Amino acid sequence: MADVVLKSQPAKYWIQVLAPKQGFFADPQQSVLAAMEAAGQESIPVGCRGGGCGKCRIQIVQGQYFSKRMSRAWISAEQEAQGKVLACRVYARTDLNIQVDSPEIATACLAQAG
Amino acid sequence: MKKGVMRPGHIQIRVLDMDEALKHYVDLLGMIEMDRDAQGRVYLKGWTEVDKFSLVLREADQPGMDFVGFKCVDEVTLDNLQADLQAAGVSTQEIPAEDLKDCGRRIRFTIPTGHSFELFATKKQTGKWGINPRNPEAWPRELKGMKATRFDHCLLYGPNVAASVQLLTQVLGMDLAEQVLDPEGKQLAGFVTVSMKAHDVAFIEHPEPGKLHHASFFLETWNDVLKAADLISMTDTSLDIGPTRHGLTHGQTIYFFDPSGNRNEVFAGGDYHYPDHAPVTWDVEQLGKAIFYHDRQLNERFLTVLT
Repeated sequence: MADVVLKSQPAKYWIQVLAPKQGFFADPQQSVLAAMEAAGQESIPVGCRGGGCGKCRIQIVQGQYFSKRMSRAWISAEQEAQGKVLACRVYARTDLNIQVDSPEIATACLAQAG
Repeated sequence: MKKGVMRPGHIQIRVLDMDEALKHYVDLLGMIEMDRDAQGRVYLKGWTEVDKFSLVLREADQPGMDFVGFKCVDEVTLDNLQADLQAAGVSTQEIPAEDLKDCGRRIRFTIPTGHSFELFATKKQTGKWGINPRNPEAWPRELKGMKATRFDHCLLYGPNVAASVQLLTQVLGMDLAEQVLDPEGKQLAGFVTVSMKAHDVAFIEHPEPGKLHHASFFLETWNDVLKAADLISMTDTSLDIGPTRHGLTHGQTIYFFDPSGNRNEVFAGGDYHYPDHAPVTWDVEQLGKAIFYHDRQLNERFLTVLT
């Protein structure tokens, strides 16, 4: 998606998480995931923070954003076109409505150990 | 029984954005950029490494590891090991010299955990970076960031860990230094060495093949690991966990991520291994302590965040 920069940008945008109903402000220079972490919230799972592991997948329901390249292992070109993105690689350009959409991620076989 | 495999020689890692990656590996880790090729790959090394490069970065749309290569003592050994692999039923492919710049032919094969492994014997030697080979000073003064000394090992996730360990130990003459066993005696993790190091490559059992958990770079002291942690904060780099100590190998460590989500480690210390040492065994019930010796529990990311 092209980077939409508005002339009169507000300092921060409101990111509304639809379920669980939560929200936080995001600086345009800050990824949606980094903004959530800075707000002390946990609605979006945090992994590598670099577009690689898939943990922080979200669906953008409404709003404009700029996104950096993210792993095709988790986001196909079609999904990307439909607003399915990794929150760590997405920067708000308007207020956003988002839904957490964590993919199935395999767990190492050590986990049974507890 | 050693069969002429010497050390981890290179790892090729895929990154989403080369400029971001170089800022990370050069400015933060302190790796040295040595060359670039027509494919756009960038060749780097830690300053103490005598071969021209040990880390190759390739821009791609999916991060992770392309392959890891081990250096052998000579070309004859390479031929012998290729024959041994084929005799063990492993199909091999010869990558011609100069496919990687200034590197000889490489024998590539896929191990049971789904990772692409290579053996090679020839690579241009440029010597330790920044110091004269004759009457050398202690270290070069121009180093950046964490001043990583060398690519040390990688931890790979995939199915059939026991089979990969068996291939590397029985066919390639490596040693099993440490392992994690479940109550039935199934090997869930194997730490394999070709040297006195506690590991030159390690494996953890995982349903998906071919995954990279981390690429690790060696620092000299615990204080260097602490300073690496300081730099991770100063640069707002994505931290995973640490500084802390591993139970397995007892190395002092910090885990963090490159800008494409590939996990890196810098570490110091750790146990040593001789060929007559029995493998050190950890019971899976003690896994928390085995991985993070101080917290004594795993973080969820250790088990699931991979590229």
